Amino acid sequence: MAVSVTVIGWLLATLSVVLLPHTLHLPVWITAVWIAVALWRYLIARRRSGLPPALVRFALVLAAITAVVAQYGTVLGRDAGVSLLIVMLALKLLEVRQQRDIIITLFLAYFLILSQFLFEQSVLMLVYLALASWLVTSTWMLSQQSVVSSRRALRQSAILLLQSVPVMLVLFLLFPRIQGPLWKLPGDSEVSRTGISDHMSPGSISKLSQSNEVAFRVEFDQGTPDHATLYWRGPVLWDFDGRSWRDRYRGQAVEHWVETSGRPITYQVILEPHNRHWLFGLDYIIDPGINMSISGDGQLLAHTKITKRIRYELISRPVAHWPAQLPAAQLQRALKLPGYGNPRSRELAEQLHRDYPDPQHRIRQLLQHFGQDPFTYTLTPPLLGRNSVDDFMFNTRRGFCEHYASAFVFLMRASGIPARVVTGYQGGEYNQLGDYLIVRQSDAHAWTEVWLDQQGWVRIDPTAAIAPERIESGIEAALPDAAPVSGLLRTDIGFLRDLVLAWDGINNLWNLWVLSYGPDLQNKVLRQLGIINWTQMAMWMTVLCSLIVFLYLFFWWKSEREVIDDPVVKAYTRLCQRLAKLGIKRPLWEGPANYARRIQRQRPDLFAELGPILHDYQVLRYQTADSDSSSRQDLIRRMRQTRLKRTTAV
Amino acid sequence: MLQQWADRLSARHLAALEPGAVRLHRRRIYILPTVHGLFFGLALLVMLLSAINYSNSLAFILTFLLGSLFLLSLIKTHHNLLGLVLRCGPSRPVFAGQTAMFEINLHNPGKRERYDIIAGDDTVLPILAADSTGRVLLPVQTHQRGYISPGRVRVSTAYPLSLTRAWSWWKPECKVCVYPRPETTAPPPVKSGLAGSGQTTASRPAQGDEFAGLREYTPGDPISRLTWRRQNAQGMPSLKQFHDQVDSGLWLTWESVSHLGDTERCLSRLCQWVLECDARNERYGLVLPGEQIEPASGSEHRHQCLQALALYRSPQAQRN
Repeated sequence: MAVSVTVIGWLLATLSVVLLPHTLHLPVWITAVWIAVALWRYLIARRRSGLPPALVRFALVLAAITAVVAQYGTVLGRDAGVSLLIVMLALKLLEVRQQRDIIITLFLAYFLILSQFLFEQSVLMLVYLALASWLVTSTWMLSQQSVVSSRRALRQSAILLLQSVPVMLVLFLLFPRIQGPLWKLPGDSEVSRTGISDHMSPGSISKLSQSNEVAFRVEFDQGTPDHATLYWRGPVLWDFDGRSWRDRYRGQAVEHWVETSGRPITYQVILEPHNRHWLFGLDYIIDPGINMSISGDGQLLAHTKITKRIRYELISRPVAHWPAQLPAAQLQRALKLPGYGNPRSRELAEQLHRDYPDPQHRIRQLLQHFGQDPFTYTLTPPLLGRNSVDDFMFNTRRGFCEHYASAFVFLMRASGIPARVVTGYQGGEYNQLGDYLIVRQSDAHAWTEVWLDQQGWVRIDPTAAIAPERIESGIEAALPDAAPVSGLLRTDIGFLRDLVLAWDGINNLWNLWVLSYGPDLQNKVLRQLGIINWTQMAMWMTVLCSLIVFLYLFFWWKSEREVIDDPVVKAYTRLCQRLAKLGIKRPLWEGPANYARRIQRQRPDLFAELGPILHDYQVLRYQTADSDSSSRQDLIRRMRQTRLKRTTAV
Repeated sequence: MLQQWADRLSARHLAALEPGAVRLHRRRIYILPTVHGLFFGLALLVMLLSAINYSNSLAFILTFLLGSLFLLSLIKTHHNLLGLVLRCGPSRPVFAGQTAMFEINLHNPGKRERYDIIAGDDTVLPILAADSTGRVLLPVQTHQRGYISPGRVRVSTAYPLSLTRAWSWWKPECKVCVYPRPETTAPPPVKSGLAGSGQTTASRPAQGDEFAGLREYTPGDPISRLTWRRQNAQGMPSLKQFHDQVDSGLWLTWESVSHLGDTERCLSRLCQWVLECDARNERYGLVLPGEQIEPASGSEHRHQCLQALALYRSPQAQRN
């Protein structure tokens, strides 16, 4: 069966809708190929001209595969696979002749919708792709109908999809989940993501701070602690090369990194994927969970890279009991500086060492120096020269947290106090609607720790000296209005802010209950319902699906019955049965008018009464306007009460 | 291939001819996935595997939604046939070699519309409104005279998505009379005497000379002699009668054609003669070995004669 222009038009429109989100992350030439081929195919359909010959199509397919391989170096993996799928779909259009070809392209469209979920799984994307699925199903239905009616196809496929939802929910809840991946495809995990990186150089954190993306969300079991105490510890950086700080020897995992005391804080972190090993927690974590470990300098590390959103629970206590002495290896590392560079800072450090022999005084003096001198806290610091610390300390004096942390640790080390840089996040925004804390990339922060004998590692935040409001209430309070922090996050309009928070709340629930519904969560949820193993899951799945199907069948059957259950028809059928006993049987095909005429011939005595009844019945059944219920009741009563005398025919 | 195997299996228990209306109930509807359906199932499996591989909840949702869609479309396909009432409609006789059109009435007693119901191989009824009757014509090629019935009729549907096909078999008790193939090149009818009747008539012009009066029309009377000038109480027309046509008629006899030898050729010629006489509104009678039809005219008479020719020595109906 040939394919009509309407169906081709629908097909092209539907596929374009499905492809639209893909264009955001695929090379431009793929979109261009799609548009060109779609237009070509549409013109072919409009002009009823022939499809390109097989040789041309074959050449195009070869060219497409070559182009994809040239772009990605492979045809496997997510990005290359999706690109290949789209290009092949475009070329498939050039040989759409029959219904069967349409069905194949629509199958591919469903695959494309699925592959879009590998890129993004937000609520909005789900809504968009649900609409796309509706279109695909409608086009499918349209291509199967012998009389094409777009409205009917849209309506019926909407009904069909909505009716499919209950069974889908049962399957989603109960279908036994296993931990993926079943196999590994190249290029799946090398996706770059924003987040704290493994090194810190001037400008790296201020750049990160301009992103509103969520880094992680935290739910506290008993109230959110004070904003100023929320230091989310990330990578600890020891090694300075004159410009950037790194951690050259990844910390060895230890059993307990520090003895702690104080009131424990229990919280759950829902971390967005950042493709790194580290996790974030509050000082001082006492018990890392399974699949994670803690290093000697307090970095919480996952055993595998975080490539998808995870949720983990931590317990922290505020007080640590450090050993009296710093181990020699750590001491050496915490004092090491490059052999050359930044002479003026070294000079300042020696002067501080001379003037203030007590380390505590020295620290206080340096922080005061930051606070008093014309140091400015800004998101757009000027570029620094080769001697970056000198440049910052004596020339520009404008910097973001990484500048202060870097200069502070340098000066501390130069004056003989062991010190290190800690990166991570500070603070977060409390969402009252969902009772959780949102920590964004804009909350990225760098601070320092210095070793003081008898006290151990003490957290010193130089930023607090220059911009205390950053620590107490968050970044937006610390920066002047002109700072280029983007987005609604910074808005002062109350209700807009509420809206943003409400939206984040929805996203959080979505992440927690839908996107993270994997083997663990399923196990937890089903255990509460008393379903503990696969056998029971399979059983419940079958039972519930059958129940839903049975309910549908019941309701459809019931609505069918209503036609026959019309009481007037019932009474008429009963009357006919009674007449049949008298020998006047009504064949199925005989209408009331003919029947009445026959009764008149065979039994004129009965007709006197039956004639008007049959006439009224005829009027009631076949008139266009709706009859009122009283006349219906009256007719039923008359049909029932008619006396049928058994007399011989005249 | 799958469909053929299923057809054979499902048609195995098909009962004998079913008179009257037949309601398609649950136990006589068969259902199987189509080739599209099988591929759809395969696609679902691939989707499920990728959902597991990427541990992607939304991919699971889409896969399960489509799986559920499959299940529901299966039910809807079944429902599209369930409860349908099949009945034979009136069908017109044809000449051998022509295509007989069997009229099949599909009644939808329910409240919902039904779509794309296929009768036979490819006769589609696109839409059947609630509580209404649709009509499809089932073509059957005829080859020889006699009665013909459509045999085993399949009523099927693949609505809504062609993922599954439901079908039911029906052996309707309807038949069409197939007249012999008329011999178009036949010579004009010959005069022939009929032994014992003492009446001999010659072939002569058909138009009557003298108007004899009017009588009430009865179905089967030649339409050319109707008059609407005078109508009875029911508004039916009257029939003009002429003297010539009252008394005598032309006898078409088996003897006059028996020299042709072959039975079928004889019947073909007689058939042609009947048609010619009928076209001229003549009165004619037919004599076959063992059967005699008195001279008359009109469509009813024509059918009677042609039917006699059709069934001559072949009482059994054709099957296919």
